[in-house]
Amino acid sequence: MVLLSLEKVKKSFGEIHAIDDVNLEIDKGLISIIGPNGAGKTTLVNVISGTLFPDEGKIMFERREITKKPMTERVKMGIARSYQLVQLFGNLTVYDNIRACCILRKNLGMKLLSSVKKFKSVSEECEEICERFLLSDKKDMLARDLPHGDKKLLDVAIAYALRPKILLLDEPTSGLSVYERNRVMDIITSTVKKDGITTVIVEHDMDIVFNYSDRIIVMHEGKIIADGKPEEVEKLSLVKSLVMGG
Amino acid sequence: MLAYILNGIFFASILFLISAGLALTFGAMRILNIAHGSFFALGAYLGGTFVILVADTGVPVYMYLALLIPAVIVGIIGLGLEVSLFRPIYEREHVYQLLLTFGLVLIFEDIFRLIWGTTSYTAPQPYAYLGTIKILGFEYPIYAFLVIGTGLLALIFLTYLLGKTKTGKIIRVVTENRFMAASLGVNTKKVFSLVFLIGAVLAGLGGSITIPMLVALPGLAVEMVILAFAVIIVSGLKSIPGVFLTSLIMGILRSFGVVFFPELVLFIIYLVVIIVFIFRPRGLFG
Amino acid sequence: MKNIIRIEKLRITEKSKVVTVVFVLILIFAPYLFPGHNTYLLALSLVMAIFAMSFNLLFRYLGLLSFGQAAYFGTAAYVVVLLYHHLGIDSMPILFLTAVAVATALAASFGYICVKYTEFYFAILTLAIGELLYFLAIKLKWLTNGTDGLGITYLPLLWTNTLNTVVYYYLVLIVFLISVLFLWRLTHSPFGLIIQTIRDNPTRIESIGVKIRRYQWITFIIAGVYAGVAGALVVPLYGHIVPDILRWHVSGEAIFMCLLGGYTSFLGPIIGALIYTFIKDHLIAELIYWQLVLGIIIVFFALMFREGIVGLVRRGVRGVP
Repeated sequence: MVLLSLEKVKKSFGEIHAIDDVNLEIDKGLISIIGPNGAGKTTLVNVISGTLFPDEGKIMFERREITKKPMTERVKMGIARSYQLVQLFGNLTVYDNIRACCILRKNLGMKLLSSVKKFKSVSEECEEICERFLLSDKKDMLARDLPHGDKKLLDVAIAYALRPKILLLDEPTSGLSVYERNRVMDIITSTVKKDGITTVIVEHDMDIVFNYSDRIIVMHEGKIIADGKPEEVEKLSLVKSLVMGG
Repeated sequence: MLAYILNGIFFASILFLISAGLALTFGAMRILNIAHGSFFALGAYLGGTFVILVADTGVPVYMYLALLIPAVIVGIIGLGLEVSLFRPIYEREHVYQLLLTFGLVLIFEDIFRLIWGTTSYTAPQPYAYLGTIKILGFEYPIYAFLVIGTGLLALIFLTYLLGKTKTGKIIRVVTENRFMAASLGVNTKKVFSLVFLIGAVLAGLGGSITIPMLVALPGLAVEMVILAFAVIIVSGLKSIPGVFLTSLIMGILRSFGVVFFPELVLFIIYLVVIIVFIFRPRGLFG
Repeated sequence: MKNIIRIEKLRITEKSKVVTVVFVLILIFAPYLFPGHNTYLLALSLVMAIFAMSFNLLFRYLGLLSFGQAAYFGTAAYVVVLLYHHLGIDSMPILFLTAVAVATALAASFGYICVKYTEFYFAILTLAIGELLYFLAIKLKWLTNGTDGLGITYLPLLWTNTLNTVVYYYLVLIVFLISVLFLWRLTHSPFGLIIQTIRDNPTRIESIGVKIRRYQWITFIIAGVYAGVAGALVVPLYGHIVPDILRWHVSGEAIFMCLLGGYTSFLGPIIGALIYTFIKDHLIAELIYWQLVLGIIIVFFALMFREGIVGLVRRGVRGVP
């Protein structure tokens, strides 16, 4: 069963066709979306996550139409995302950042009088997620004090804490050194592969893209111009000149 | 009937003088200066002081000139505050800005008490001197027209400044998007100072021009800033003429309200604000 | 390495527990440790601490700056004196419960409108409410006696009356301890965590499914309850209530107490209230220009010093809650 599909999706900002007639089916694995700036990658992620609504076209998730559904509903259905500019709860600890999401997922937000520590399942989940993202030794640090690499990881961890079926990551390695990038991607991929979460990543670093992806989608001026396994996409001269400067 | 409308325009002029300044600073600088009302009150108190000083000289013209000085003084003080206190906190979270201006309100209130006391402060000489004029069967104070005139002058000045001058254009660009303006090479610091100066001058002028017909009491500053804020919310912050029209509406409402529901005048104004907030959150002209 | 960190943390929690216990013990034996007028001041401090907690709940945990907590504080106080004067009621439970109920209802109604708006608008709206009520208190002379205000001589209390400062102090202490306990629970509950996420990143938490307005509204109501409780309790201590109690400078005192003690800590508002009440009492004779000092210090804090006195202490001594 196809998890997510887009049919003839268009989104414009004034005269600019950010996404122009995109058709896409996503099922399993780690899919990278690449392309030059302005190709429409982030808009695509926005339209899937619910940050924006398309002008035309249909988006289906698990056979249900979600084209105009608000983001909060999509989260409940299992679509979660991280952000290019990290969106964390700066004054809370790493642990609490994750804990807040677990609490919300279990609908415990309105408990006014019970100590948050009482919910063992929440605590266990938080510990587990911290370990998965290698943040355990920093779990009492305030999110705003984290080094940049860990901030990016926490941003993903927050989305992961919502136990999504599909994870959309907008430039999860941007701003990181080459070593850090691999570290972050290793952590992310080991987690999502272990849980079988479909992951869509917008990425600029070609090494990362070709080392970690199961599938690569190339976008240019709002359209998808290539879509396939890394080995196939690599060979297309079009892609070479456009994206890799070759 | 005409008297009520004239009264309405009179109130509107006062409202406009204080609201326009707040609209400018809030719009361009995204900072809500609660102490803006204190500028108004300072203008009023200073205006009264100068009038009283000059009243004995026996030269009537001096009284009216005296009313212009506070605007300058308030402007200078405002600019001083902006440079020393506001600048460091522009990039900080809004709560600190609010706290700062709130602290300033308290400071000003006690300074007013210190210098001018807690009983009502008035300076009716300029008002009394001009007497009244007979319009359509009733007497109306000529001084009120002076106030209305000042308000209209301010409107013309601001509209011209913002619409036709290069400086005005820069101010508008900064209001739209100050980050973009900065990247275009605009010295936003200077623009902020200028905007703040204009706002302070207008507020001070509003206070001083009104003192001959107003009673200054402790708490005037807060009362005025809330009214100014009400005007801004209702007008939607998009244009100066919008602020003027809103002031007009509020002024006339108040003028009629005072006659029919004297005890509930403030209520009516707040009610209007709430209704507009609910049904047209962007303001009447936003 | 991990073991050492765990032991460190244990020490810190032990320390805070000891500090708290010592603190509570001092409060329990206060009338004997600090007799006479100081007992009165302590009672007033604890009431003001509840008022300060009302402000800090909104400010520290939600990031909302309310310039109008005095509205609920003053309303509760007025309800007590009004019922006493016009209906002759002097039963403390009835007076206090009604006062808190009215203050809460007010907070619920105004809060509903206020939370729809962002910081600046919210701040001014809260300011306006206090002024509006002040205006009413002055104009409705037949009800409130205008600027002259209304007073009570005393209320019967158990076997004695409220003029017996020691007994009243213990009543205040009990209410204070319950308030603190409840606030501690609230801020360490799932609800408490979520409102902090609203403070830090409302866009993200909203996209995850939080109805921000609802959380803000509930918090606003609870803050109103605290302000109301303080307002009711303050009446026998003040003796006389005037319309000024509704105005922004009273709200300013709550803000000041939180900043002074340090709004980033739980104890901060309480310490701030204690220090402020005692200083005010000793200096008020010499320092009539109180708002000036308050204003200057608030400006100072806004510019520089966020952590207050508890923050200073914390830097030297770890483990203060």
